[in-house]
Amino acid sequence: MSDAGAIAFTDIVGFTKFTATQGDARAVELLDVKRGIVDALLPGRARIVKELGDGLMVSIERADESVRFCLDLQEAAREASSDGPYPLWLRIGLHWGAAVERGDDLIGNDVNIAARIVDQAGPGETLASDALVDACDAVAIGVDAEPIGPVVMKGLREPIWLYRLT
Amino acid sequence: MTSGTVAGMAAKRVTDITQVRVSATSGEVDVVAEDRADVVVDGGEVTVRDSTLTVQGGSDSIKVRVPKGMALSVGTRSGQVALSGSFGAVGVSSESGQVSIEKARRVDVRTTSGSVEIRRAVEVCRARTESGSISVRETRDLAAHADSGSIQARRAEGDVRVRTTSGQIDVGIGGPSELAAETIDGTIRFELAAGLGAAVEARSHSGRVDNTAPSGDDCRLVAHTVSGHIEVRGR
Repeated sequence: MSDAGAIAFTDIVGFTKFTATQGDARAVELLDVKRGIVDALLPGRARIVKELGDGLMVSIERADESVRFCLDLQEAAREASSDGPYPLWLRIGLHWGAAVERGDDLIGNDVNIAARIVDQAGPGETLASDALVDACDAVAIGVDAEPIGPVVMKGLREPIWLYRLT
Repeated sequence: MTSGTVAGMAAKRVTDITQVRVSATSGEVDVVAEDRADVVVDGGEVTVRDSTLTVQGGSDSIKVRVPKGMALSVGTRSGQVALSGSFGAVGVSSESGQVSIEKARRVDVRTTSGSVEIRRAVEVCRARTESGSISVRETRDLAAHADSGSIQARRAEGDVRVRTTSGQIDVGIGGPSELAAETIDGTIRFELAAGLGAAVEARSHSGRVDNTAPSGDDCRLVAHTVSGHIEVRGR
């Protein structure tokens, strides 16, 4: 079992439609842009657990670093979108919890929750669970955590209380 | 917290509440904001922590009466949500239920496949749908995303930022504003109120940006389409 940490899932909104209309080569270009900014911004105490198509699963030791990483990623994605040829609509779901290490992978209920949170986000949004917000002092790091409310998600018995980070 | 009787049914009455949170799976959620100082809850399991009141329900209906201007958030899977009166900041998330909001200072609404109707958002309306439909009668600022669903805002008076993957977004612009529209393969239409002109900065790969609105500096639109259609017209 890993120690508690932040688990982030990223996803490119509209990637499937983009690939269908623009072709595989351009889709790969978009993925390369995204991966480039993730690699440039990844904190020292973080790692990319796995790549899932147009998504990434990232594990970050510290809650405050996870928030800064996600918001910096969104800012870089916005710049890439406005300066580059294609829109990079990144959405991010962030949760705090523990997981079971299985080789390089992380498995567990908290991983599943993080994966469900990213589905709730719109393009350009970073949503975090109350567990993540409780684990970091948002005010101290200059981040606004706007309550979204209880969100009932597929496969989860209890609603998860979500916040929108800016 | 005290127990009392409202309309013949047992209810809980609570004072000194600044935020109400309601979660349900399939039961109806009915919240009325009115001239009162206390919160009255009928249905669900109620807990109070600091000044936040939480109601957790399942398939039974939940009825809540709150003071005007109350901050409220509601999450449901498939239940119907009706918010009547004037609220503060409102957040509603629903997988497939029907949602109606009369008036709130700020609105954040997310639905997977449900239908949402918002009469008025005083400051900002943030709306997101996958394959459902969202209709907003009046808002100041609007931030919206439709994946394959539809969003219609009859009148937005402030800044607007909309995105759609392959859905449809229609926005009536009521005053000078900054507009941003992005689409992969969907359709976005802006209709400017009489007397407004627009300056459009457009980028398109294989899509179309059509501007038949009067030229002017009232509205500045930055439009980006991959293979979809963005249209600006005057009334």
